[in-house]
Order: sequence, then C-alpha cells, then structure tokens
Amino acid sequence: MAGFFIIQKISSLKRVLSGILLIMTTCFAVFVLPFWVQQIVLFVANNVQTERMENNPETIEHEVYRLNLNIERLNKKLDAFIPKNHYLIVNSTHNEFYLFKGKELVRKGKCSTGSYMLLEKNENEKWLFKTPKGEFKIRSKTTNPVWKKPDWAFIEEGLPVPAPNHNSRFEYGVLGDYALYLGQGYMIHGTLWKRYLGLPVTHGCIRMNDDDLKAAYSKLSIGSKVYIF
Amino acid sequence: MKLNKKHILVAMPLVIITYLMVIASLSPLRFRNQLHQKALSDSLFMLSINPSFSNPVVKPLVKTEAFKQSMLQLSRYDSIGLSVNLPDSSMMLKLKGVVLYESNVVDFKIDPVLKGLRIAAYLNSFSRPVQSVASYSSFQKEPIVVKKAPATPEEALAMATLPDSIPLVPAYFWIELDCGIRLCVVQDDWKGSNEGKVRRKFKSDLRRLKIGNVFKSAIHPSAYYYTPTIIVETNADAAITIFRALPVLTKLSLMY
Repeated sequence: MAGFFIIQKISSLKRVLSGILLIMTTCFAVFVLPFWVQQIVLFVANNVQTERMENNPETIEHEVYRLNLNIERLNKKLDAFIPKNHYLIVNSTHNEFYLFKGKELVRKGKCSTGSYMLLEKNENEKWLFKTPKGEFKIRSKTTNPVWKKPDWAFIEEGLPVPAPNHNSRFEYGVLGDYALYLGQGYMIHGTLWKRYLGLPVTHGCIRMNDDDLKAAYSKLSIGSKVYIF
Repeated sequence: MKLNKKHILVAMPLVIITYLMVIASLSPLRFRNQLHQKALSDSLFMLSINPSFSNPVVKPLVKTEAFKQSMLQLSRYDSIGLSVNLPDSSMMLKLKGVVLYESNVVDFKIDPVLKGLRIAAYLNSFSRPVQSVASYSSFQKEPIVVKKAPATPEEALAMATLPDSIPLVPAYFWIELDCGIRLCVVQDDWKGSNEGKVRRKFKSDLRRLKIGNVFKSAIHPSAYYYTPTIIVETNADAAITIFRALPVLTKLSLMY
C-alpha cells in the first residue's frame, strides 16, 4: 500500500517538474532566444557587409590633409563662441560657481541657489523658489544693496503683507556689500547665512561669500555673461 | 500522417517562437536599412560622400569633422545642449558654445546596429544635432518640495527646517532621440543595496522595452519596432547634473 503511494507521489512530482521545465523553456524561447538570434544575425551582418573603400595612398593622404584643415577651421569657429572677457558659470545642482576669462578658470567656489520650494498660500498664489537656467547678462551692479522684500517674504514668515512701499519692506545689509542684477528680479549677492553656502536655500537668487562676491563684482562688468545650469 | 491535437499543440509554440526569432532578427536590420536608405535618398548629400571615407585612416577624421559641424550648429541654439564624444570619453553640457560642465565617460556600450552603420548613414544622421523626443530618469528632474504658507509667525517658526543638500540617489536616465536611438546614461559605481535594486530596475526596464518592441513588431510586421541603445557610464553626480540641466526637449551632438 505504502509503495503504491510513493509511486503515485513520484509520478505527480514528475508531472510538476516537467510542467516547470516546460514553462522555463517557453520563457527562454520567447524572451531570450529571439535576442540571441538577433545578436548572431547582427554580428554576421556587420561582418558580411562590405563598403566600397578607396585605398589609393595619394587620395587618402589628400583626404587626411583636407579633413585636418577642416577640423582646424571648425575648432576656430567653435572657439569664437567663448566670451573673451570674464564670465560666470553657476552649477545649480551642486551649488558651485566658476569664474572664467576666456578658457581660463580664474576662480571657483561654493554658492547657494534656489531651494526648489513651492510656497502655496492658496490656489492662485504660489511661488516656486528656483534659479532659472540659461544664459544671462549682468544688467546692473550696485554696492551696499538694499533688499526690497516681495510679498512672498512676508507670507513665508506668516506675516501680513504690507503696502508696496511700506518701511518694513526695506532691509539693509542682508544682501552683502555688492549685488549684480541679472533681470527678472534675480541677483547675485552676498549673505549673512554663510554656513548654508553650497546648499540649495535661496529664493532664486545666487548667494556668494564676501570674497567671491567681491571678485565677481570687480571682474564682471555690465553685459558680462552668466551661464546657469 | 494524420494531424492530431498533440501535434498542433507542439507545432504552435514552435511556429510562434520561430516567428518571434525572425521578427527579432529582421527589425534591427530593417532599422539600419532605413537609415541607409534615408542617406541614399538625399542625392545632394550623397555627392559629398567619398569612397575614401570608409578607409580606416580617414573614417575617424570624417566622424570628427561631422561632430564638430554638429557642435557648431548646437552652439547656435539658445538652450542647453549635450555633446557626447565617446572616442574621447567625454560628455559636455554646452550653451551657445560655452562648456558649462564636463564629465568623464567611464565606459560605454554601443548597439551592434550602430556599429555596423555605413559611413554615409552615420554622417547623414550625426553631422547635425539630434533632437530628444522623450526622456525618463530614476530621479526627479526638479526636486520640488511643496510648503503650505504659515498663517502666523509661530507656525512659520515651527515649520522651519534646516536646509539639506540634494541627496545623491542611484542615478540613471535615458533620452529617446528623433533618429530612433536611445541614449542611456547610467552611474558607474553601484555600492549600496538600494543602488543594486535600482540597477536591476534599469536592466529590467531596458529588457522590457526590448521585449515590448519585438512583440509590437510581431503584431504589426509592416511597421517594425527597434530602438538601438547607447549605454554610457559616468559618475552619479554627473548623471544627475546633466539630466537636471537639460531642457525637456533638448538637442545632442553625438560621436561614437
């Protein structure tokens, strides 16, 4: 009796195993085999295909000369795009800046850019604190800038928004010694919160430490390019 | 011989598998042929193709020239573009000809279809910037944090959080290009267990897309689906920086 049950168990186990094997073979045949065949066919096709080729040494030499000249000409054209004067590159992912003159790196350091915070007061009033990317120009420069606080600065602090030219809107000394305006309300300025340099904490402006800001202020003139990415 | 149910049951999967194999083998060849035909149909362009371009001495120079021409056109656009130079192992973010960021390519893998492309088809496809049509990434393009405006200064104080740097997450992204190619940029080192998971996800995503293409081609044999893939390995920092800097629809200069 016991022997009969063992034989029955073995035969059902065999059925299960052959079922699993069948499923695995089907999966292999459907999901793997076509790609193996694909790779083999491509390998053969790549090796079989012939392209008409010129091997005359004189022609080749002439072509190499012509191409080298063309590449040199194209390199010159590409170099012409690089500004000759000072320009600033800001990496908003890693909060770093690079001050260049032509191809030469003059100074690099940490800065702070937009925090990517979306401040929501209600459905209609929302502010996204992000530093815009692209090519900008220094539109104006100033020393001892005064910050005229926009509405969001009050809303962010849970304060009532004052009248447009109310005294409480003007803050002195918080932007450092210099400010370089990029347009659309964005600036490069200093900060009181130097320990946050290198972190994305601003409302969209670019903050630098005092020395870096001084260097940027002295090297960049009105019209100088600022590239933010 | 009489056909019974058993024979049909055995033959059916065999026919399906053979059909899938034929489709899988033909799709990449048809893709390549389409690129060749596109080049051949441009008679003005074909006039500039010289048989010496296929010579192994001349070929790299021809490709370099095409890449430079493409970069020159890329420099004329006013948004950030990407240039990928695989022989030089470099990837650059460029804006109006200025190199904003440069990263090293640690390793790369090129689809055999692209490796076997004739020089005319290569030049026709890559001597100008290619446009991206879609993209996908394992991380957020813009890590936006939503904050409700506090009603009182006390509430604002309670909500204040210390700023933190953007966390370095396992990073990969891919960009689908208008020429039918997919460029995948993957981080090169995978140490943590979470990174292992993401890497497995990256591989399974790619496999899923490949299998999906074969099945789509099997269902619509007249329209074949094949997307040759270039996989570029770089460090995670670079992958994140590059993807976040690029506009949603961007242009790329490519050389391999």
